[in-house]
Amino acid sequence: MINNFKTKKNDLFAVLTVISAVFLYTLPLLLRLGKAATLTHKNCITAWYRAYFFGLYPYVSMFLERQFPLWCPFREGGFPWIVFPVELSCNLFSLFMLPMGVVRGLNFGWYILYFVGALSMFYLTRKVLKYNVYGATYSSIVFSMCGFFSFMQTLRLNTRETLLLPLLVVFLLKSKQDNRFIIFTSLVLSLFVNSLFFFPVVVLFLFLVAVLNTFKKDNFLLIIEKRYLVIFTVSLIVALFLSAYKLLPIMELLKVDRRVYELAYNKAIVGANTFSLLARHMFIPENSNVGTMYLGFLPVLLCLFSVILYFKHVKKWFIILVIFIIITFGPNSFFDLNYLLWHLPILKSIREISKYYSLITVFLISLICGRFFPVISRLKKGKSRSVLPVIIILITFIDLLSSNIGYFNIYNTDLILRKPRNYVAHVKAINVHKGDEGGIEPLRLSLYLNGFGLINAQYHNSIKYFKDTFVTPKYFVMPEYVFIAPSTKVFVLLNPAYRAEAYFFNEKNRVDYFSITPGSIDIKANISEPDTIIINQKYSKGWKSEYGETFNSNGLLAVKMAKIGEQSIRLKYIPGFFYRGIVISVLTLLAICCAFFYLVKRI
Amino acid sequence: MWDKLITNFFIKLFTFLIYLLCIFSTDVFAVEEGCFKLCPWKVGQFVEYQIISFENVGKEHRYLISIIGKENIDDRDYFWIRLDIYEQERQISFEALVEPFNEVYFSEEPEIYISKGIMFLFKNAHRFFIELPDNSRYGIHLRDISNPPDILNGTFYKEVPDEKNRVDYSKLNFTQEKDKVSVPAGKFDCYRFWVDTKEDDDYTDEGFIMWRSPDVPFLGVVKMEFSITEFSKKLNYRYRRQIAHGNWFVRLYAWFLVRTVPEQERKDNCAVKLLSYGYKENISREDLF
Repeated sequence: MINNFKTKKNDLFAVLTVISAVFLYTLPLLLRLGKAATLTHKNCITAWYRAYFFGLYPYVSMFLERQFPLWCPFREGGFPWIVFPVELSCNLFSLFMLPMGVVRGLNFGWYILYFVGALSMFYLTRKVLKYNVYGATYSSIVFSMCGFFSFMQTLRLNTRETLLLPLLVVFLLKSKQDNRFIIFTSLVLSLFVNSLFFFPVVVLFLFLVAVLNTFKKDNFLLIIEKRYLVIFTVSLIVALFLSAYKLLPIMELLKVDRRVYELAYNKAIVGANTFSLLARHMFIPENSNVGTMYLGFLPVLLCLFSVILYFKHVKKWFIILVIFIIITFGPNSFFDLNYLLWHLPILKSIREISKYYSLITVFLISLICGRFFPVISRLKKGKSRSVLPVIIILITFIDLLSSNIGYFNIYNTDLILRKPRNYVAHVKAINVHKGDEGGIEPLRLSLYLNGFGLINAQYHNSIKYFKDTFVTPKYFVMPEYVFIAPSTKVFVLLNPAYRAEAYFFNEKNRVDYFSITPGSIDIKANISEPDTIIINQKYSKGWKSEYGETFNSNGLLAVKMAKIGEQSIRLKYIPGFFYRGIVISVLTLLAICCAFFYLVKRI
Repeated sequence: MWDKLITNFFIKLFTFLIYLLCIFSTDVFAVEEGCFKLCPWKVGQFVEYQIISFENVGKEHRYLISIIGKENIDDRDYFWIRLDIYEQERQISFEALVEPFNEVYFSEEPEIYISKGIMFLFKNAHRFFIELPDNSRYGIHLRDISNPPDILNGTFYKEVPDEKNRVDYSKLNFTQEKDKVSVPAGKFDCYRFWVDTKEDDDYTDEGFIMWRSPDVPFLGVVKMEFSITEFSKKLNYRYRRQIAHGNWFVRLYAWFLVRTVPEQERKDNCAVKLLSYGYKENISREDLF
C-alpha cells in the first residue's frame, strides 16, 4: 500500500517534470503565439506561408462567410478545395483557429501537441511497457524535445499529427486486452490521414509491430498469435472508413494523376541517408535539411546499451528501427528496401525519404533508450541510485534544449491577416521559383488578401490536377531578374488578352455582375441572343445550375443560356464525392459509438 | 585693388580645384576604359541566359534576347529587340523598338543600366509589343511598363526579403583587371562589377557581383550572382551583438529567446549564366512590323 502510494507520488512528480521540461522548451513559441515565422529567404519557412493560406481560406470561408470551403477560386485557376490532402477545413486541430485566429490557432495546434506527444510517450513507457520512472521520463523528454519535430514545425504544418504516434502505439498495444482500444486506435490513425505521406509510413510501422508480435517462440516451437494482425487490420479498415470524408476527395485527385507527384525514383530518393549524413542529422545541432532530428550522443548511446543489455525486451523495436534506418538509406544501403516500397501506391509519391521515415527512427530511439535505466538501479545502492539517472536526464534535457530551442525563435513577424477582398481575377506567375525557397507562397498569400488568385505557381508544378489550367490571367507577375537585373522584386503587367471573369461569345450580350464564393457563383447578365457564358474558372463537373447545364469549354466552366433579357444565374458547387465521404464517415462514427457502448456494457 | 586681386586669386583657385575634381571624376568613368565597352549592335545578334537559384531551382528558366530588326527614324538607328521568357515552354515575349545602349551614359551612370537591365530599354521604347504563348501580339502603352499596377498594395509582401531587397549602388565597385569566368557558353575574360554587403549592414541591404565582357551583346553580362545576403546571418549578427554588449540577463534572454538554429551552408545564390550568344542570320522578323 505504502509502496503503491510512493510509486504514484513518483509518477506524479515525473509527469510534472516532463510537463515542465516541455513547457520550458516550447516557451518561446508560447510567448510568440500570435507572431508569424520571419522569412529569412533561405530558411525554407516560406512553407509556413502556404500553411497560413491553407489556414486563412477555410477560416474566412467557414467563420466569416459561413460557407464550407468546397471550391477555391484563388489557387491554380480554381479547384475543389477539399481534394487537397493537407487542407485544414477538415482537420481537428483547426478548431483552435476558431477562438484564436489563424496564426495563433496554427501555432497553438503545434504547441499543444508537444504536450500530448510527451505525456503519451510517458504513458506508453511507464504504464504499457513498464519502464521505471526515470526511463519513462527520459524517453518522453527525448521524444518531445528531439530536433525532428521542431525542425518539421518550421517546414510543414501537416506534420504536427506525427506527435500522436506514441498515443497510437499505446492504443494498439492496449487493444490486445481490451477491444475498446481498437476504436481509439482507429480514431487516432484516422487523424494521421491529414499528415499525408506520414500516414502510409505509420501504417507500415504498425503493420511491422503487428507482424513481429504475431510470431512468438516458445522453447523450440514457433507460436502464431493472430491477435495483433486482427487488431491492425480492423483498426486500419475502420480508420479508412472514418476518414472517408478526406479520402474520397483525395481519390478524385488520384483519378486525374494516379501518382499525384510525377516522381522518378532518382527524385524520390532526394536526401537519402549515408552514414555521415545520418550522423550529421542525429549529432550536429544544425538545420541539416530534410532528415534533421538532433538527438545528441547520450540518447543514441543509451539506446545501443539497452539493445545490448535488454535485447530480449527491445528486440522487436530494434528490428523495426533497423528496417526503417535501412529504408532511409535508399540506394546507399546494401539492399535498397526503399525501392521495393516505392512500387507501392502512395509510397511511390514520397519525396525526400529521410524526412518521412525519420519519424519512426526518432520514436524508436526515444523508446529504446529509456529501457537502459534499470541498469543504474542494479549497479548502485543508496542515494546515488537516483542521482545518476537525474544527472543523465538533466544533461540530455539541457543538451536538447540548447540545441533545438532555436527553432522556436523564428516567430518574430507581426503578420496581419485581414479579411481578404472578394475575388477579383487570376494572376499568372512567370519564372517565379516555385520551391519552398522561392517566395511564391508569401506572394500567393499577399495576392489572396487583395482578391487575386495565383496560377502557374504550384509547388514544383508537379500535380497534374493543378498543372492543366486554361484560365486567362488578368495580370502577369514576374521577378525583375527576367530583365537580367540583379533584383528579385516582382514586376506586374496587365494581360492585354484578358476579357473578364465571365463573358459571352456574342459581344451583344453583357455580364453586369459577377461574384464567386467558396460554394457558388452569382452572375447577372443582359442577354439579347441565346449564347454561352464562359466563366474564367477551371471546369469541374461538380458545378450545377438550375438555369442550364454546365459544360467544359476548352477547360473552362461554361453554361448555355437560352433565355433572353435580364437574367440572374446562380451556379452551385456540389461535390458528390465529398458528401458521400461525409455520409460514410458519420455512419462509421455512429457504428463505432454503438460498438463502444456495447463493449462497455459487456464489461 | 587688393580686393580684386584676392578675389581673382580665389576664383582661379576654385576653378583649378573644380578642374582637378572633373579630371578625377572623368577618370573614374572614362569611356575608353575597357570595362565599359559595349558590343556594337547589329540585326541577328542574340544572347541566351539561364537564371537559377537555391539548389538549382529554376534551371529550366531561360531568357533569349535578340535583335530582330532595324529602323531609321530622323537619321538615327533604332533596333527591334525581342525578349523571350521560357519555363519549360515559352511563357511570354516582349518586342520593343529601342535605341541601343550608349557607352558614354553607361560609363557615367552604370548603376542605372545594371539595376534595370533590359527594362532600361523597354521603359524608353518607341513602340512596344507583347506576344503571348498562343502567338497573339498586342501593342502596349509605355505607361503600362513605367507604372505597373500595384496589385500587392497594402499587403505584407513589401516586407518579405525577396521584395525588400535593396542594393546600395553608391557602393558600386568595378575593376579593370580581368577575371576568368566559366559559364555554359564558354570561358571569358571578364570585368567585375560588384556591390558588397556585410552582415552588420541593414537587414534588407543586398549585394551582387556581375562579370561582363565587351564581346557579349547588350550589356555584356556573362555571369551575375545576386540576392547573396543570408538574412539569417544578419539576424544572427544581431544576436551576437546582443550577447556581446548585454549583461547576464540579456545574454540569457538572447540565448533562450533570440538565437536560431544554425543552417546548413548553401553555396548557390541567384545566378544569371550566359548559355549562348552570337549571331543568327535568320533571326530578323521584319515582316512583323
